[in-house]
Amino acid sequence: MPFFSVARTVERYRAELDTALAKLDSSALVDGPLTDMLERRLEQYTGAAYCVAVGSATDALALVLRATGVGPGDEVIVPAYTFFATASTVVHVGATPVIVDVDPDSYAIDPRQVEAAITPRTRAIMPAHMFSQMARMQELCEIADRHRLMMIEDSAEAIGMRFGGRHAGLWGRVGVLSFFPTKTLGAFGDAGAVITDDAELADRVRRLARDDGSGWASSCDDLAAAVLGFRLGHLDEEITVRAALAERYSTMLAGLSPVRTPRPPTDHDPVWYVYLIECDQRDDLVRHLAERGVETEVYYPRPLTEQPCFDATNSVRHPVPVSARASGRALALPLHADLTQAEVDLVCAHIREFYGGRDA
Amino acid sequence: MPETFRRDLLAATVAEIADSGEFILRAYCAELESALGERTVVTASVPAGLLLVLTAAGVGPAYPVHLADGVRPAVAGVLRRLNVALVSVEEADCHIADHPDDPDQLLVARAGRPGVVVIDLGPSSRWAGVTVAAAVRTSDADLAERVRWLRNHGQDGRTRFLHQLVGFNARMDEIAAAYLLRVHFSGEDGRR
Repeated sequence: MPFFSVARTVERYRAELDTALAKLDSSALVDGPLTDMLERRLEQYTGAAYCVAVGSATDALALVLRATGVGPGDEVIVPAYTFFATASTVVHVGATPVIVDVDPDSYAIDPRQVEAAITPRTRAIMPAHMFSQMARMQELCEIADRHRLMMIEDSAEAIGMRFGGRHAGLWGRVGVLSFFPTKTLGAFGDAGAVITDDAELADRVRRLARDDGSGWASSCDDLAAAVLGFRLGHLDEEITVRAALAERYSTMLAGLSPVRTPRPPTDHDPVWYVYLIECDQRDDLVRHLAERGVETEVYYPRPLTEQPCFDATNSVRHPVPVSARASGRALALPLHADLTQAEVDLVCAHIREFYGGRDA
Repeated sequence: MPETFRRDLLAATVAEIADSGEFILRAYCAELESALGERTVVTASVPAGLLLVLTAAGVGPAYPVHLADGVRPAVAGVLRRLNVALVSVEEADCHIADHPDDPDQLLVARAGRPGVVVIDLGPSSRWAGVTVAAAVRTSDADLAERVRWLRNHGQDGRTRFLHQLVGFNARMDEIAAAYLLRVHFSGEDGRR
Protein backbone atom coordinates (compact mmCIF):
# COMPACT_ATOMS: atom_id res chain seq x y z
CA MET A 1 0.00 0.00 0.00
CA PRO A 2 1.70 3.20 -1.11
CA PHE A 3 2.05 6.15 1.24
CA PHE A 4 0.60 8.31 -1.50
CA SER A 5 -1.18 7.56 -4.75
CA VAL A 6 -3.16 9.57 -7.26
CA ALA A 7 -3.54 6.80 -9.85
CA ARG A 8 -7.16 5.91 -9.12
CA THR A 9 -8.21 9.55 -9.00
CA VAL A 10 -6.59 10.21 -12.38
CA GLU A 11 -8.15 7.07 -13.82
CA ARG A 12 -11.57 8.29 -12.67
CA TYR A 13 -11.16 11.75 -14.21
CA ARG A 14 -8.83 10.90 -17.10
CA ALA A 15 -10.98 12.70 -19.70
CA GLU A 16 -10.84 15.91 -17.63
CA LEU A 17 -7.07 15.67 -17.31
CA ASP A 18 -6.70 15.14 -21.06
CA THR A 19 -8.91 18.16 -21.71
CA ALA A 20 -6.73 20.25 -19.39
CA LEU A 21 -3.55 19.09 -21.12
CA ALA A 22 -5.05 19.80 -24.55
CA LYS A 23 -5.14 23.47 -23.58
CA LEU A 24 -1.34 23.66 -23.37
CA ASP A 25 -0.03 26.22 -25.83
CA SER A 26 3.31 24.98 -27.17
CA SER A 27 4.50 28.56 -27.69
CA ALA A 28 3.83 29.55 -24.05
CA LEU A 29 4.75 26.61 -21.84
CA VAL A 30 6.20 28.70 -18.98
CA ASP A 31 4.22 31.31 -17.02
CA GLY A 32 1.68 31.04 -19.82
CA PRO A 33 -2.10 31.41 -19.99
CA LEU A 34 -2.79 28.33 -17.88
CA THR A 35 -0.54 29.65 -15.10
CA ASP A 36 -2.40 32.93 -15.27
CA MET A 37 -5.73 31.13 -15.04
CA LEU A 38 -4.50 29.03 -12.11
CA GLU A 39 -3.48 32.16 -10.21
CA ARG A 40 -6.96 33.66 -10.66
CA ARG A 41 -8.64 30.43 -9.55
CA LEU A 42 -6.40 30.19 -6.47
CA GLU A 43 -7.29 33.78 -5.59
CA GLN A 44 -10.91 32.78 -5.80
CA TYR A 45 -10.44 29.59 -3.77
CA THR A 46 -8.38 31.13 -0.96
CA GLY A 47 -9.92 34.58 -1.00
CA ALA A 48 -6.48 36.15 -1.55
CA ALA A 49 -6.44 39.38 -3.50
CA TYR A 50 -3.26 38.26 -5.27
CA CYS A 51 -1.61 34.98 -6.17
CA VAL A 52 1.72 34.48 -7.93
CA ALA A 53 2.50 30.92 -9.06
CA VAL A 54 6.16 29.89 -8.95
CA GLY A 55 8.37 26.80 -9.18
CA SER A 56 8.02 25.54 -5.61
CA ALA A 57 6.94 26.61 -2.13
CA THR A 58 10.63 26.87 -1.25
CA ASP A 59 11.06 29.44 -4.01
CA ALA A 60 7.86 31.13 -2.83
CA LEU A 61 9.20 31.52 0.73
CA ALA A 62 12.55 32.85 -0.49
CA LEU A 63 10.77 35.32 -2.78
CA VAL A 64 8.51 36.48 0.04
CA LEU A 65 11.45 37.04 2.39
CA ARG A 66 13.41 38.85 -0.31
CA ALA A 67 10.42 40.97 -1.36
CA THR A 68 9.68 42.02 2.22
CA GLY A 69 13.29 43.14 2.60
CA VAL A 70 14.35 40.54 5.17
CA GLY A 71 18.13 40.24 4.97
CA PRO A 72 21.48 40.30 6.76
CA GLY A 73 21.22 41.30 10.43
CA ASP A 74 17.56 40.29 10.66
CA GLU A 75 16.22 37.41 12.73
CA VAL A 76 13.15 35.39 11.75
CA ILE A 77 11.52 33.19 14.39
CA VAL A 78 10.64 29.78 12.96
CA PRO A 79 9.37 26.48 14.42
CA ALA A 80 11.71 23.53 15.01
CA TYR A 81 9.22 20.95 13.80
CA THR A 82 8.68 21.66 10.13
CA PHE A 83 10.11 21.02 6.71
CA PHE A 84 13.64 22.29 6.20
CA ALA A 85 12.69 25.14 3.83
CA THR A 86 11.00 27.12 6.62
CA ALA A 87 14.51 27.87 7.91
CA SER A 88 16.75 27.38 4.85
CA THR A 89 15.03 30.17 2.94
CA VAL A 90 15.77 32.54 5.83
CA VAL A 91 19.46 31.63 5.50
CA HIS A 92 19.28 32.09 1.72
CA VAL A 93 18.26 35.74 2.06
CA GLY A 94 21.14 36.29 4.49
CA ALA A 95 19.02 36.49 7.65
CA THR A 96 19.16 34.27 10.76
CA PRO A 97 16.48 31.70 11.58
CA VAL A 98 15.72 31.63 15.30
CA ILE A 99 14.44 28.13 15.92
CA VAL A 100 11.94 27.64 18.76
CA ASP A 101 9.73 24.83 20.03
CA VAL A 102 6.20 23.90 19.03
CA ASP A 103 2.87 23.08 20.60
CA PRO A 104 2.57 19.29 21.27
CA ASP A 105 -0.96 19.06 19.85
CA SER A 106 -0.84 21.20 16.71
CA TYR A 107 2.93 20.85 16.09
CA ALA A 108 2.85 24.54 15.17
CA ILE A 109 5.05 27.19 16.72
CA ASP A 110 4.30 27.84 20.41
CA PRO A 111 3.37 31.52 20.92
CA ARG A 112 5.06 31.57 24.35
CA GLN A 113 8.33 30.40 22.84
CA VAL A 114 8.02 33.04 20.15
CA GLU A 115 7.56 35.81 22.67
CA ALA A 116 10.58 34.60 24.66
CA ALA A 117 12.80 34.54 21.57
CA ILE A 118 12.18 38.12 20.43
CA THR A 119 15.28 40.34 20.35
CA PRO A 120 15.95 43.82 18.94
CA ARG A 121 17.03 42.08 15.71
CA THR A 122 13.76 40.17 15.26
CA ARG A 123 12.12 41.18 12.00
CA ALA A 124 9.46 38.56 11.39
CA ILE A 125 7.62 35.57 12.81
CA MET A 126 7.12 32.67 10.43
CA PRO A 127 4.71 30.04 11.77
CA ALA A 128 4.13 26.89 9.74
CA HIS A 129 0.70 25.25 9.65
CA MET A 130 1.36 21.57 10.01
CA PHE A 131 -0.34 18.35 8.89
CA SER A 132 -4.00 19.12 9.57
CA GLN A 133 -4.41 22.44 11.36
CA MET A 134 -3.36 26.02 11.64
CA ALA A 135 -1.05 27.63 14.16
CA ARG A 136 -2.64 29.84 16.85
CA MET A 137 -2.79 32.82 14.52
CA GLN A 138 -4.75 35.18 16.75
CA GLU A 139 -2.17 34.97 19.53
CA LEU A 140 0.72 35.07 17.11
CA CYS A 141 -0.65 38.09 15.28
CA GLU A 142 -1.14 39.88 18.61
CA ILE A 143 2.50 39.22 19.50
CA ALA A 144 3.61 40.42 16.07
CA ASP A 145 1.53 43.59 16.37
CA ARG A 146 2.76 44.31 19.89
CA HIS A 147 6.40 44.02 18.83
CA ARG A 148 5.91 45.53 15.36
CA LEU A 149 7.04 42.37 13.62
CA MET A 150 6.06 41.07 10.25
CA MET A 151 3.93 37.93 10.08
CA ILE A 152 4.93 35.64 7.21
CA GLU A 153 3.03 32.35 7.08
CA ASP A 154 4.58 29.12 5.88
CA SER A 155 1.19 27.88 4.77
CA ALA A 156 2.75 25.43 2.28
CA GLU A 157 0.74 22.51 3.72
CA ALA A 158 -2.39 24.46 4.40
CA ILE A 159 -4.53 24.78 1.31
CA GLY A 160 -8.16 24.58 2.37
CA MET A 161 -7.38 25.43 6.02
CA ARG A 162 -9.35 28.37 7.37
CA PHE A 163 -9.63 29.91 10.79
CA GLY A 164 -12.32 32.48 11.48
CA GLY A 165 -13.27 32.31 7.82
CA ARG A 166 -9.84 33.44 6.68
CA HIS A 167 -7.64 31.10 4.65
CA ALA A 168 -4.20 30.12 5.92
CA GLY A 169 -1.55 32.45 4.57
CA LEU A 170 -3.82 35.47 4.77
CA TRP A 171 -3.71 36.09 8.53
CA GLY A 172 -0.30 37.65 8.23
CA ARG A 173 1.10 39.85 5.53
CA VAL A 174 1.74 37.02 3.11
CA GLY A 175 1.67 33.24 2.80
CA VAL A 176 2.75 30.47 0.46
CA LEU A 177 1.25 27.29 -0.98
CA SER A 178 3.03 24.08 -1.95
CA PHE A 179 1.83 21.90 -4.79
CA PHE A 180 4.39 19.15 -4.16
CA PRO A 181 2.71 15.98 -5.50
CA THR A 182 1.67 14.53 -2.13
CA LYS A 183 0.12 17.79 -0.93
CA THR A 184 -3.65 18.12 -0.53
CA LEU A 185 -3.56 19.95 -3.88
CA GLY A 186 -0.62 18.38 -5.66
CA ALA A 187 0.86 18.79 -9.12
CA PHE A 188 2.77 15.91 -10.73
CA GLY A 189 6.06 17.70 -10.05
CA ASP A 190 7.26 20.73 -8.09
CA ALA A 191 5.18 23.93 -8.00
CA GLY A 192 4.18 26.55 -5.47
CA ALA A 193 2.57 29.96 -5.03
CA VAL A 194 2.57 33.15 -3.02
CA ILE A 195 -0.77 34.49 -1.72
CA THR A 196 -1.36 37.90 -0.18
CA ASP A 197 -3.79 40.77 0.09
CA ASP A 198 -0.93 43.29 -0.14
CA ALA A 199 -0.90 44.72 -3.68
CA GLU A 200 2.53 46.28 -3.44
CA LEU A 201 4.10 43.12 -2.04
CA ALA A 202 2.42 40.96 -4.69
CA ASP A 203 3.84 43.24 -7.35
CA ARG A 204 7.32 43.03 -5.88
CA VAL A 205 7.13 39.21 -5.68
CA ARG A 206 5.92 39.02 -9.26
CA ARG A 207 8.71 41.26 -10.54
CA LEU A 208 11.38 39.25 -8.70
CA ALA A 209 9.90 35.94 -9.85
CA ARG A 210 9.35 36.87 -13.48
CA ASP A 211 12.48 38.97 -14.07
CA ASP A 212 15.20 36.62 -15.30
CA GLY A 213 17.85 39.08 -14.17
CA SER A 214 16.66 39.38 -10.55
CA GLY A 215 18.62 36.36 -9.35
CA TRP A 216 15.43 35.07 -7.70
CA ALA A 217 13.46 34.17 -10.81
CA SER A 218 11.03 31.29 -10.41
CA SER A 219 8.47 30.25 -12.96
CA CYS A 220 5.44 28.00 -13.05
CA ASP A 221 5.21 25.54 -15.92
CA ASP A 222 1.87 25.56 -17.70
CA LEU A 223 1.98 21.78 -17.50
CA ALA A 224 1.84 22.04 -13.70
CA ALA A 225 -0.87 24.70 -14.00
CA ALA A 226 -2.93 22.39 -16.24
CA VAL A 227 -2.68 19.53 -13.74
CA LEU A 228 -3.44 21.83 -10.80
CA GLY A 229 -6.38 23.40 -12.60
CA PHE A 230 -7.83 19.96 -13.13
CA ARG A 231 -7.20 18.90 -9.52
CA LEU A 232 -8.49 22.16 -8.03
CA GLY A 233 -11.91 21.28 -9.43
CA HIS A 234 -11.97 18.25 -7.13
CA LEU A 235 -10.16 19.72 -4.13
CA ASP A 236 -13.10 20.15 -1.77
CA GLU A 237 -14.35 16.67 -2.56
CA GLU A 238 -10.84 15.27 -1.86
CA ILE A 239 -10.69 17.18 1.43
CA THR A 240 -13.98 15.53 2.41
CA VAL A 241 -12.65 12.09 1.48
CA ARG A 242 -9.48 12.73 3.50
CA ALA A 243 -11.55 13.83 6.51
CA ALA A 244 -13.61 10.62 6.42
CA LEU A 245 -10.46 8.49 6.17
CA ALA A 246 -8.82 10.38 9.05
CA GLU A 247 -11.90 9.87 11.19
CA ARG A 248 -11.81 6.18 10.36
CA TYR A 249 -8.15 5.94 11.44
CA SER A 250 -8.96 7.65 14.74
CA THR A 251 -11.92 5.34 15.34
CA MET A 252 -9.99 2.19 14.52
CA LEU A 253 -6.95 3.19 16.62
CA ALA A 254 -8.97 4.46 19.59
CA GLY A 255 -8.03 2.90 22.91
CA LEU A 256 -4.72 1.47 21.68
CA SER A 257 -2.51 2.82 24.44
CA PRO A 258 0.90 2.90 22.66
CA VAL A 259 -0.61 5.10 19.93
CA ARG A 260 -1.62 8.73 20.26
CA THR A 261 -3.98 9.71 17.48
CA PRO A 262 -3.95 13.32 16.21
CA ARG A 263 -5.67 15.94 18.32
CA PRO A 264 -7.86 17.96 15.98
CA PRO A 265 -8.23 21.69 16.56
CA THR A 266 -11.18 22.86 18.64
CA ASP A 267 -11.62 26.28 17.02
CA HIS A 268 -11.50 25.44 13.30
CA ASP A 269 -12.05 22.55 10.92
CA PRO A 270 -9.01 20.43 10.19
CA VAL A 271 -7.87 19.71 6.64
CA TRP A 272 -6.13 16.37 6.63
CA TYR A 273 -3.00 16.74 4.54
CA VAL A 274 -1.19 14.26 6.82
CA TYR A 275 -2.57 11.80 9.38
CA LEU A 276 0.19 11.81 12.00
CA ILE A 277 0.22 9.52 15.00
CA GLU A 278 2.73 9.40 17.81
CA CYS A 279 3.65 5.92 18.95
CA ASP A 280 5.96 3.76 21.08
CA GLN A 281 8.66 1.77 19.25
CA ARG A 282 8.11 3.90 16.15
CA ASP A 283 10.99 2.53 14.08
CA ASP A 284 9.99 -1.07 14.79
CA LEU A 285 6.41 -0.26 13.79
CA VAL A 286 7.71 1.27 10.53
CA ARG A 287 9.49 -2.02 9.78
CA HIS A 288 6.46 -4.09 10.77
CA LEU A 289 4.22 -2.12 8.42
CA ALA A 290 6.79 -2.14 5.60
CA GLU A 291 7.04 -5.93 5.82
CA ARG A 292 3.29 -6.01 5.28
CA GLY A 293 3.52 -3.68 2.30
CA VAL A 294 2.37 -0.52 4.05
CA GLU A 295 4.48 2.56 3.32
CA THR A 296 4.74 5.28 5.94
CA GLU A 297 6.72 8.50 6.37
CA VAL A 298 8.46 9.97 9.39
CA TYR A 299 7.56 13.65 9.56
CA TYR A 300 10.10 14.61 10.92
CA PRO A 301 12.96 12.45 12.15
CA ARG A 302 14.80 15.37 13.76
CA PRO A 303 14.05 18.94 14.79
CA LEU A 304 15.65 21.70 12.71
CA THR A 305 17.99 22.37 15.65
CA GLU A 306 19.59 18.98 14.96
CA GLN A 307 20.18 19.45 11.25
CA PRO A 308 23.93 19.36 10.60
CA CYS A 309 23.74 22.39 8.27
CA PHE A 310 22.46 24.68 11.03
CA ASP A 311 24.90 25.81 13.67
CA ALA A 312 25.79 28.86 15.73
CA THR A 313 27.15 30.64 12.64
CA ASN A 314 23.89 30.68 10.66
CA SER A 315 21.09 30.17 13.21
CA VAL A 316 19.95 30.65 16.80
CA ARG A 317 18.78 27.37 18.34
CA HIS A 318 16.58 27.42 21.41
CA PRO A 319 15.83 24.25 23.44
CA VAL A 320 13.09 22.25 21.70
CA PRO A 321 12.03 19.36 23.98
CA VAL A 322 8.55 19.01 22.45
CA SER A 323 9.96 18.76 18.91
CA ALA A 324 12.69 16.38 20.03
CA ARG A 325 10.17 14.04 21.64
CA ALA A 326 7.83 14.15 18.63
CA SER A 327 10.66 13.41 16.20
CA GLY A 328 11.25 10.09 17.94
CA ARG A 329 7.56 9.10 17.99
CA ALA A 330 5.78 10.64 15.01
CA LEU A 331 4.61 8.55 12.10
CA ALA A 332 2.49 9.55 9.10
CA LEU A 333 0.14 6.85 7.84
CA PRO A 334 -1.07 6.62 4.21
CA LEU A 335 -3.66 9.31 3.47
CA HIS A 336 -4.77 10.31 0.00
CA ALA A 337 -7.87 10.45 -2.13
CA ASP A 338 -7.14 7.03 -3.68
CA LEU A 339 -7.22 5.34 -0.28
CA THR A 340 -10.25 3.27 0.76
CA GLN A 341 -11.77 2.68 4.17
CA ALA A 342 -10.91 -1.01 3.84
CA GLU A 343 -7.26 -0.08 3.38
CA VAL A 344 -7.37 2.16 6.46
CA ASP A 345 -8.86 -0.75 8.41
CA LEU A 346 -6.06 -3.01 7.19
CA VAL A 347 -3.34 -0.53 8.27
CA CYS A 348 -4.99 -0.26 11.69
CA ALA A 349 -5.21 -4.06 11.98
CA HIS A 350 -1.47 -4.29 11.27
CA ILE A 351 -0.78 -1.65 13.92
CA ARG A 352 -2.92 -3.49 16.48
CA GLU A 353 -1.17 -6.74 15.60
CA PHE A 354 2.21 -5.07 16.20
CA TYR A 355 1.27 -3.95 19.68
CA GLY A 356 -0.29 -7.32 20.47
CA GLY A 357 -3.61 -5.87 21.55
CA ARG A 358 -2.12 -3.64 24.23
CA ASP A 359 -5.41 -1.80 24.57
CA ALA A 360 -5.98 0.71 27.30
CA MET B 1 8.61 28.01 -30.79
CA PRO B 2 9.59 24.43 -30.08
CA GLU B 3 8.93 22.55 -33.28
CA THR B 4 9.04 19.17 -31.66
CA PHE B 5 6.19 19.61 -29.16
CA ARG B 6 4.56 16.19 -29.03
CA ARG B 7 1.20 16.55 -27.38
CA ASP B 8 0.20 12.89 -27.49
CA LEU B 9 3.54 11.80 -26.13
CA LEU B 10 3.21 14.30 -23.31
CA ALA B 11 -0.33 13.17 -22.43
CA ALA B 12 0.80 9.54 -22.32
CA THR B 13 3.82 10.47 -20.19
CA VAL B 14 1.72 12.50 -17.73
CA ALA B 15 -0.73 9.59 -17.36
CA GLU B 16 2.11 7.13 -16.81
CA ILE B 17 3.81 9.28 -14.16
CA ALA B 18 0.51 9.93 -12.37
CA ASP B 19 -0.08 6.20 -12.31
CA SER B 20 3.43 5.40 -11.05
CA GLY B 21 3.41 7.83 -8.14
CA GLU B 22 7.09 8.59 -8.85
CA PHE B 23 7.16 12.31 -9.50
CA ILE B 24 10.52 13.98 -8.83
CA LEU B 25 14.18 12.89 -9.23
CA ARG B 26 13.44 9.21 -9.70
CA ALA B 27 14.32 6.66 -12.39
CA TYR B 28 13.67 8.84 -15.45
CA CYS B 29 15.82 11.67 -14.10
CA ALA B 30 18.61 9.16 -13.42
CA GLU B 31 18.22 7.73 -16.92
CA LEU B 32 18.36 11.20 -18.45
CA GLU B 33 21.53 11.92 -16.50
CA SER B 34 23.12 8.76 -17.92
CA ALA B 35 21.95 9.63 -21.42
CA LEU B 36 23.41 13.14 -21.19
CA GLY B 37 26.81 11.85 -20.07
CA GLU B 38 28.87 10.91 -17.08
CA ARG B 39 28.67 13.19 -14.00
CA THR B 40 25.58 14.97 -15.25
CA VAL B 41 23.14 16.31 -12.68
CA VAL B 42 19.69 17.31 -13.92
CA THR B 43 18.14 20.37 -12.30
CA ALA B 44 15.28 22.85 -12.43
CA SER B 45 16.61 25.60 -14.73
CA VAL B 46 19.79 27.24 -16.02
CA PRO B 47 19.91 29.91 -13.29
CA ALA B 48 19.21 27.25 -10.66
CA GLY B 49 21.98 25.07 -12.12
CA LEU B 50 24.41 27.99 -12.07
CA LEU B 51 23.44 28.85 -8.49
CA LEU B 52 24.11 25.24 -7.47
CA VAL B 53 27.47 25.14 -9.28
CA LEU B 54 28.75 28.42 -7.87
CA THR B 55 27.52 27.64 -4.35
CA ALA B 56 29.11 24.19 -4.53
CA ALA B 57 32.37 25.74 -5.75
CA GLY B 58 32.42 28.28 -2.93
CA VAL B 59 31.93 31.24 -5.29
CA GLY B 60 30.36 33.83 -3.02
CA PRO B 61 30.70 37.43 -1.85
CA ALA B 62 33.66 39.31 -3.44
CA TYR B 63 34.81 36.25 -5.40
CA PRO B 64 36.42 37.51 -8.65
CA VAL B 65 34.26 36.43 -11.59
CA HIS B 66 34.46 37.40 -15.24
CA LEU B 67 31.22 37.41 -17.17
CA ALA B 68 31.54 37.41 -20.97
CA ASP B 69 29.43 39.77 -23.05
CA GLY B 70 26.06 38.71 -24.30
CA VAL B 71 25.36 35.99 -21.73
CA ARG B 72 21.66 35.64 -20.84
CA PRO B 73 20.46 38.11 -18.16
CA ALA B 74 19.63 35.33 -15.71
CA VAL B 75 23.35 34.71 -15.24
CA ALA B 76 24.05 38.29 -14.15
CA GLY B 77 21.09 37.96 -11.77
CA VAL B 78 22.59 34.91 -10.07
CA LEU B 79 25.97 36.66 -9.78
CA ARG B 80 24.31 39.69 -8.16
CA ARG B 81 22.47 37.40 -5.77
CA LEU B 82 25.78 35.83 -4.72
CA ASN B 83 27.46 39.25 -4.42
CA VAL B 84 30.47 38.20 -6.46
CA ALA B 85 32.95 40.80 -7.71
CA LEU B 86 32.66 41.23 -11.48
CA VAL B 87 36.21 41.74 -12.76
CA SER B 88 38.25 41.65 -15.97
CA VAL B 89 39.35 38.40 -17.60
CA GLU B 90 42.87 38.81 -16.18
CA GLU B 91 41.71 39.31 -12.59
CA ALA B 92 39.11 36.53 -12.51
CA ASP B 93 39.32 33.10 -10.87
CA CYS B 94 36.02 32.09 -12.40
CA HIS B 95 34.91 32.73 -16.00
CA ILE B 96 31.37 32.43 -17.31
CA ALA B 97 30.53 32.50 -21.00
CA ASP B 98 28.18 31.05 -23.57
CA HIS B 99 29.49 28.10 -25.53
CA PRO B 100 30.78 29.49 -28.85
CA ASP B 101 28.92 26.91 -30.92
CA ASP B 102 25.91 26.07 -28.78
CA PRO B 103 23.68 28.79 -27.32
CA ASP B 104 22.07 26.22 -25.02
CA GLN B 105 25.33 25.68 -23.15
CA LEU B 106 26.77 27.95 -20.50
CA LEU B 107 30.44 27.41 -19.65
CA VAL B 108 31.85 27.90 -16.16
CA ALA B 109 35.66 27.75 -15.91
CA ARG B 110 37.53 27.94 -12.62
CA ALA B 111 41.26 28.38 -12.18
CA GLY B 112 42.95 25.00 -11.83
CA ARG B 113 39.71 23.02 -11.77
CA PRO B 114 37.78 21.01 -14.38
CA GLY B 115 35.22 23.02 -16.33
CA VAL B 116 31.47 22.89 -15.90
CA VAL B 117 28.71 23.11 -18.49
CA VAL B 118 25.13 24.12 -17.68
CA ILE B 119 22.81 22.93 -20.44
CA ASP B 120 19.42 24.49 -21.09
CA LEU B 121 16.81 21.79 -21.66
CA GLY B 122 13.77 24.08 -21.48
CA PRO B 123 11.06 24.87 -24.02
CA SER B 124 13.02 27.61 -25.81
CA SER B 125 16.20 25.53 -26.12
CA ARG B 126 16.85 23.19 -29.03
CA TRP B 127 16.04 20.36 -26.59
CA ALA B 128 12.51 21.75 -26.46
CA GLY B 129 11.54 20.30 -23.09
CA VAL B 130 7.97 20.73 -21.89
CA THR B 131 9.04 22.51 -18.70
CA VAL B 132 11.89 24.73 -17.61
CA ALA B 133 14.79 22.34 -17.07
CA ALA B 134 18.57 22.12 -17.22
CA ALA B 135 21.55 19.86 -16.55
CA VAL B 136 24.98 20.42 -15.02
CA ARG B 137 27.87 18.41 -16.48
CA THR B 138 31.40 18.32 -15.10
CA SER B 139 34.31 15.92 -14.75
CA ASP B 140 34.81 17.28 -11.22
CA ALA B 141 33.33 14.43 -9.17
CA ASP B 142 33.34 16.32 -5.88
CA LEU B 143 31.61 19.31 -7.40
CA ALA B 144 29.01 17.11 -9.08
CA GLU B 145 28.29 15.45 -5.73
CA ARG B 146 27.84 18.77 -3.95
CA VAL B 147 25.57 20.02 -6.76
CA ARG B 148 23.51 16.84 -6.36
CA TRP B 149 23.09 17.48 -2.62
CA LEU B 150 22.40 21.18 -3.01
CA ARG B 151 19.63 20.69 -5.60
CA ASN B 152 17.53 18.70 -3.12
CA HIS B 153 17.70 20.76 0.08
CA GLY B 154 21.22 19.64 0.97
CA GLN B 155 20.18 16.01 1.56
CA ASP B 156 22.92 13.50 0.82
CA GLY B 157 20.68 11.12 -1.13
CA ARG B 158 21.01 8.41 1.51
CA THR B 159 19.22 9.67 4.61
CA ARG B 160 15.91 11.39 4.01
CA PHE B 161 15.35 14.66 5.90
CA LEU B 162 19.01 14.86 6.95
CA HIS B 163 20.25 18.18 5.59
CA GLN B 164 24.03 18.32 5.34
CA LEU B 165 24.05 21.64 3.45
CA VAL B 166 21.71 24.62 3.36
CA GLY B 167 20.50 23.50 -0.05
CA PHE B 168 17.85 24.66 -2.48
CA ASN B 169 14.88 23.15 -4.24
CA ALA B 170 16.24 22.86 -7.79
CA ARG B 171 14.96 19.45 -8.81
CA MET B 172 13.76 18.06 -12.11
CA ASP B 173 10.37 16.43 -12.49
CA GLU B 174 10.01 12.89 -13.84
CA ILE B 175 7.58 14.03 -16.54
CA ALA B 176 10.18 16.50 -17.84
CA ALA B 177 12.89 13.84 -17.84
CA ALA B 178 10.76 11.10 -19.41
CA TYR B 179 9.58 13.44 -22.18
CA LEU B 180 13.14 14.55 -23.00
CA LEU B 181 14.34 10.94 -23.03
CA ARG B 182 11.60 9.87 -25.38
CA VAL B 183 12.01 12.77 -27.78
CA HIS B 184 15.81 12.70 -27.94
CA PHE B 185 17.11 9.33 -26.86
CA SER B 186 14.62 6.52 -27.31
CA GLY B 187 13.00 7.09 -30.67
CA GLU B 188 9.91 5.51 -29.20
CA ASP B 189 6.61 7.21 -28.71
CA GLY B 190 4.88 5.01 -26.23
CA ARG B 191 5.46 3.48 -22.87
CA ARG B 192 8.54 1.39 -22.35
